[in-house]
Amino acid sequence: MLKELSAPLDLQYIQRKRLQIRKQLLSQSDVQWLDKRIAVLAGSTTQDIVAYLELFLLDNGIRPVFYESDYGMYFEDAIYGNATLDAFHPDIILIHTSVDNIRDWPSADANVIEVSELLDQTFATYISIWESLRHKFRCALIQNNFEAPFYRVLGNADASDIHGHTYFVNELNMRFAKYAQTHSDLHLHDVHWLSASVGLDRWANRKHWHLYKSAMDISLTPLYSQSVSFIIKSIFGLNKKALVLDLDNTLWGGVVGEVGQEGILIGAGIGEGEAFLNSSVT
Amino acid sequence: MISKQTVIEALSEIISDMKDSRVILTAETKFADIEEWDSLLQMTLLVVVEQKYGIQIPIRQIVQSETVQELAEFICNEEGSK
Repeated sequence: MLKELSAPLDLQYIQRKRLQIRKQLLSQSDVQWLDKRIAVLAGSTTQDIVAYLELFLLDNGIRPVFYESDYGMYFEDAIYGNATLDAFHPDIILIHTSVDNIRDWPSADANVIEVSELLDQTFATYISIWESLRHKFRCALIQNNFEAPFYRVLGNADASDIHGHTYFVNELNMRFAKYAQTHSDLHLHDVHWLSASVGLDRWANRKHWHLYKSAMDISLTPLYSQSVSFIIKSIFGLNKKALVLDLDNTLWGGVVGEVGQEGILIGAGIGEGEAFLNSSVT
Repeated sequence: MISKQTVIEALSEIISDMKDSRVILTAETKFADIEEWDSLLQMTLLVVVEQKYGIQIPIRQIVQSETVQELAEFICNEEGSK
């Protein structure tokens, strides 16, 4: 694996040197490539997502070819299909939707039943997408869950009031999760966590949305693509787990050979010791 | 203050990296005339330039910057006002 594509990622370097990295990856002579066909159904711009996804997959021995739907055509492609997608025979379909693709939000005067019905209706749209794709292609599906809305019109109450967009998104995300629990072909891509991890203010770049219809800050796209590549690797059984054990400055603070048994920082009540223990078991 | 020529040379280097081939820009070069210029390259240039110079380029400026000179002048002005 290339150092440039391993954590911590230098996002700007990857964006600037993408073609050079690609050339380097493709020039490897000792790789038994796993050729896979990946369809990306677009709720927003996917050109850059695909470009970086290719790098992360090549870095893991997967040589992808891509189908990209036209901008915003994820629903039409999934439900009505098209000849190009049909002929593509995807191994994996990524449904790249975001909070910007939620078309209907609860109105300010909606009652509990109306909000619940709107949630059901929105969720049903996604179920129809997944079922249609499953019926046509019988392949693995990767579905983004939703990042938190970028504005909280109701402040903190946005998360609990039935009219809040945050509440609406959280409810939808829970339904997505429960559906994924009972449908093994649907892999949830946790954009909700990813966007929170980098910070929603950084993630939600409205300039990039208005200029390029990008669902996230363009500088973060490699991070998104890497995250998708983790799922694709797991689908094809390419993830490896390693258990690495250490004690000094890992399970406890200090080097026991230097400070002795009494000198190490371990156990409850010693902040540094608790920090080491905590990082070892999580 | 950074000179316009320095910025143009930096832009040449950035775009050469992005295209993985040597690109020599002049002040008069139009971005649209750069071989195989597309929205992905434009998006990437925006991000790299903003991060390199620690500036924000407004939407209007991006839309209006048809030539290298227009973008370079904007960068110089932003650098000068820091």
